[in-house]
Amino acid sequence: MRDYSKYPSFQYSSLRFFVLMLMATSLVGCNTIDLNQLGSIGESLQQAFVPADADDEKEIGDEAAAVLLGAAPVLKDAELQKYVNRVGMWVALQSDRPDLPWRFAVLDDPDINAFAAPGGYVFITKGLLARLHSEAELAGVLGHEVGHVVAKHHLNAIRKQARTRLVGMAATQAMEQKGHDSEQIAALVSGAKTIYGKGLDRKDEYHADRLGVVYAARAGYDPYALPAVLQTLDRINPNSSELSLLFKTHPQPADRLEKLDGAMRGTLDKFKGLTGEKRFTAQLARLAR
Amino acid sequence: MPRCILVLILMCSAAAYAADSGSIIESTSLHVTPNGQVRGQLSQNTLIQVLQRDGAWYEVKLPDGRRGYVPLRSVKFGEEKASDSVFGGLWSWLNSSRRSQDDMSSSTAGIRGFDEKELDASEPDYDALKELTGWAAGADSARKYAAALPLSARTVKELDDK
Repeated sequence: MRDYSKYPSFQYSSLRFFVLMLMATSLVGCNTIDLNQLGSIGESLQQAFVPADADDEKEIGDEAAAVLLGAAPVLKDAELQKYVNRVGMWVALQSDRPDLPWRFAVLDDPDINAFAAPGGYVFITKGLLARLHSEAELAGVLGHEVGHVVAKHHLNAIRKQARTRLVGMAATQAMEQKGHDSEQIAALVSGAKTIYGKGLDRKDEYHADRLGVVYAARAGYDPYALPAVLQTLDRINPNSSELSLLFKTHPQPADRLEKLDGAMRGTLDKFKGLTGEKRFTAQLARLAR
Repeated sequence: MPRCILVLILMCSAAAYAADSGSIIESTSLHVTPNGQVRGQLSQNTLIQVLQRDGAWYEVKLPDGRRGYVPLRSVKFGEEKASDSVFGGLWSWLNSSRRSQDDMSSSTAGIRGFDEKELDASEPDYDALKELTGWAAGADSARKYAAALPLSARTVKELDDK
């Protein structure tokens, strides 16, 4: 991991800006942007550009994950964290990128959500974990996030932004030409987050759903556990605050379920699998003490 | 409370999620077994009680007492509050997050957890990042843990986007 204490403040600020942009896209999406519609922020961003290096997935992922962990701490429960890592790693081993340094973690956050960051980071909130019913459902959720990493959805989105000159030069302009400090960068980031705050492209979410059920099925789990999770989410009042960010950044569960069921029908409905309900229940029972 | 009793309560709770009310969202056949012989036809909005899930199928009970299986996709569960969906007795655990009620009430739009506002204020936590490494599972460890369930890997092709 890079030691930023030895870097000039500009480089740190630029990279932080870049990472925050990455986090914005990781968490809230990567929609195509019409720069002409962004006004002055768009003009600033259009002049901005620090391209992502072709081989820096892990580095970007480290920074992105660190920013995420700064916003939502990890749950201080080593046994549960190790459990989720064992399940997640077994699922990731079924993917096309089994050799990534996979890291899974439960976030101490009551909302219902899960996140992925480039390079092999997968996070699930305890709010979502507490609403699952089995290890197979956990595997399906983690599989969805593993799918995002394997398909490089977030990483490609960032590089797409880089091609449209969205990232670093705004910070350069702010720091060098206008002499402003990180507050101006933060303002740009804030504006960009507002623009980006619509979620990943829907096709990426549907793609991750398809990959998630396949990885879970390959791992020996019941492949219909993820559709069952979507049904769980679909029955919760959509106005619940616990779902606000998830629903803002993902297609509605019913839409995901319809698309996923259509893709699974005739193929994965022929596969049975284990639910692991007892082992999962034992883990959660420990938390209720 | 003895752990075995707590586990039992939570397991009952887990099983109970399926023993729940719902309705048929698209007309479908009622099958004797999953994908088996057809027992009858169910029209849209038929009320059902879901007994259990078997892969892509739910076993359901009708108001007239008949039982059978319907495709997962044809079922819509009744709406519930977020708190109702929490597993077993975990509601207090869920609300023991670092955020206090005061913090929650100050967040915009009633968002209780991680949001863009906190992301914006986030300082990268490299110590937490290092902590993840200590919990990571190696491939052999993961395989061994999977085998204990027992899970075994199998070949499954990727799905097409239909």
